Amino acid sequence: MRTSRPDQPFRAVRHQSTSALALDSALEATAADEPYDDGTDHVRFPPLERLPNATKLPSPLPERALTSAKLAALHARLSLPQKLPLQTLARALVDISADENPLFNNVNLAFVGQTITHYHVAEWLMCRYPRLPMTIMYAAMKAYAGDETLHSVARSWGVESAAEPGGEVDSGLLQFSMYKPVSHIGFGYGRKDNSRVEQGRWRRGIANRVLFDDDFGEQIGYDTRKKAQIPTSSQRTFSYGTEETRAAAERAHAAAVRAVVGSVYAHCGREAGKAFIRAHILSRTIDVSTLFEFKSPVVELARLCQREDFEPPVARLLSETGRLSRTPVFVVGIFSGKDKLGEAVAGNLDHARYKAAMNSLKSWYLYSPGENVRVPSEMLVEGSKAWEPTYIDIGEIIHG
Amino acid sequence: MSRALLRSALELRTPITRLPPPFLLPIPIRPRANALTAAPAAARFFNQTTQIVDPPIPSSILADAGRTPTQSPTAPAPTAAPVAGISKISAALSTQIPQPPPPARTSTEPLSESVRTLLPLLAAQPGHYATAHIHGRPYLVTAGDLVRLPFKMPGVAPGDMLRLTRATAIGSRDFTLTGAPWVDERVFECRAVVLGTESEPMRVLIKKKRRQRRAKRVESKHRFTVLRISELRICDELVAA
Amino acid sequence: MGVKAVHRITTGRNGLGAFILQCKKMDFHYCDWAGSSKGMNGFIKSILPKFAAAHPQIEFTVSPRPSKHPVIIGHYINGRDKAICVRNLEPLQILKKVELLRDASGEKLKKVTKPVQSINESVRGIWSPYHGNGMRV
Repeated sequence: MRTSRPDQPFRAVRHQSTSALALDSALEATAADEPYDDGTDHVRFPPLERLPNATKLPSPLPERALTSAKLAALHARLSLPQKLPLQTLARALVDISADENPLFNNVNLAFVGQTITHYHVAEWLMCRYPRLPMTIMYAAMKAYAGDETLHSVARSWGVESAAEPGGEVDSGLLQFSMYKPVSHIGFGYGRKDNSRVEQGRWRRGIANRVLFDDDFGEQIGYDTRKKAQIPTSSQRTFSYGTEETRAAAERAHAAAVRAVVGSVYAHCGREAGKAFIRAHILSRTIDVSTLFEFKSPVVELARLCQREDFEPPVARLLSETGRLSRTPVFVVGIFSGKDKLGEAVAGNLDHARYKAAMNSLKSWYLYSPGENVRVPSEMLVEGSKAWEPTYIDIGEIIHG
Repeated sequence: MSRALLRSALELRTPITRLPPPFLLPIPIRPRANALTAAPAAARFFNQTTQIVDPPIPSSILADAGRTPTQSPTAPAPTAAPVAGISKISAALSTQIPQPPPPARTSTEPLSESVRTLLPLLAAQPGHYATAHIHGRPYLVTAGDLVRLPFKMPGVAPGDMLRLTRATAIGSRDFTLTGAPWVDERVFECRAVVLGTESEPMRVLIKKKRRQRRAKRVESKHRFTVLRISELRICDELVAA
Repeated sequence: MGVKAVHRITTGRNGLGAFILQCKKMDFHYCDWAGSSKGMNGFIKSILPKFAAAHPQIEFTVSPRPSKHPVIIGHYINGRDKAICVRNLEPLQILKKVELLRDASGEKLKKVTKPVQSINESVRGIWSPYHGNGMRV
């Protein structure tokens, strides 16, 4: 049974949240005037220190970083150098959605970190797999340095997030708001109207992507998962545990990781920043051959052979278990003249031919000069060996 | 991405300033307001065993890596080869970046002709494995593997770097170098990081004899040291030199 | 467009590149009055400061829990925690428990039969019954 009491207003007191305190300052004043006595022996357990007026601030003051145990532990866990002060690390954990003041949030550090990270990932991928098509290159870039990856990097560092940002929150917690939309941070121009691209009125080819879009070849201000323009107004209501909150958490964690990279670069220099990226981002693993999705591999392979002046590819049956056997298996190889380009095993002939063509194309695209290729940034170190030109491919196969 | 590369090209023109990489230095321990978080003390207070540390690297080896040795030159000299086939090369919980020290016990015998011709081919192929022996048991490992030893290794803490020096075989896809019985230590560098100690669910064995109303409950729970193979490198520059 | 890309992310492996201690926080609960906390109180007074100084990666909190047995709780990066009751233990016995919590990965205990776990591709390839010349029977 529900009874409504319109004459008595509902009173809610949330001592742990800034928003509640900020919403009703009169309520706070009354709560402060009448301390709640729960019978605690205040001689043995002295009352907690009253929070300073900083509770009104959107993010904790920088000097509170020096007393945060969580922050010091994070600093040591990442074995960051002493040159990197705790205040900077604390700032790297304040997202733009928590504090809009660029003097106190991590936007600038994240921008630096993003640039450095993308540069190192890009040069490493380009030197290691010089023949990757641009779409795969973008996907590999995103696999190494995308939001989702950096979110898991932040989680593997043990970065915890505050339920709600505010000035009273511990400096060692990542602070972001899941309900505030944020604009894109980073390079890229963006288009006036992203829906035009979706409708197919504006063509968005690879060259177009290189020119306009961000470092992962994605439209700026456009949510690829939802296929919709990201709303700019804060009037939208979000519930907890949805795709939006997940995306916001990913973005904030990724920004924090980038900001840590940026602060290592800013305080300790280029080599330290590179070593940090190598240790935490480039040391992660992915099988690049799983990123490919071919539409018409046989045609593409024929184009490749035509371009490279190989003999046209021919599929040949290498062996089979017998067509009338219970589970027939065919081994098909693709040959160009006398050279075998690739082979595959499948349950029927067409499938085996497609798979063999895909394997041939992958073995072409995934050419690598070695696992420990030299990258251009190694030349920035004094006394490094003379640079040998890396392999540069003429480009991917284009067919209609 | 092209913009990132363009920026790098622009950066190439700036004068080169070489600074020592401070990220690689050991963790500084600083006095903090919160006394429970940190206070100056020896880093390895709780591990009573002494660390076997390889001597610092000559600067010529360091030149290409651009790294500084973690350990001070006063670190204890390497002891005789342990039976376990491991030597400890860096202190626990103090640094994360492995340093490339030279092989600890360099034998002076020249490599055989076939090794000298085929080792560069082995090193050139992508992907290597080694059959490393720890306390007599073989583990076929590649870089990045997780090894769960069947015992708790004494005197190690999480983050310690071990160098596995005993291997019966190293190889790539088409080449295998088998030792008689051990592969020469100069030929490969295999390092492992101690991740910690794991355990297993309690094993319970009920010992009961017939016609005796007595049951004995025997419990055991073993502890295992877990290693991550952080590096497996074939040293073919030895042959080239 | 010839090739499309599949969205995937990289997998991290602790210790490859950087090592991160999995234990991120330890809580020590004690009671001033109860006898079962005697060893714990001695541990907190004498050993804990040194241990905490040697492990700056771990956040330590000490808090009273009156009229309860002393407990150590380790919190791990994967979100799990491990609690150990240390009633009536001596300080050095408690130190062993603390080291156990420090060394643990936070995972649930599992029986593992294979000593080597790998996500790398097989170096020498996988044997195929469809290749080679076969075997005469």
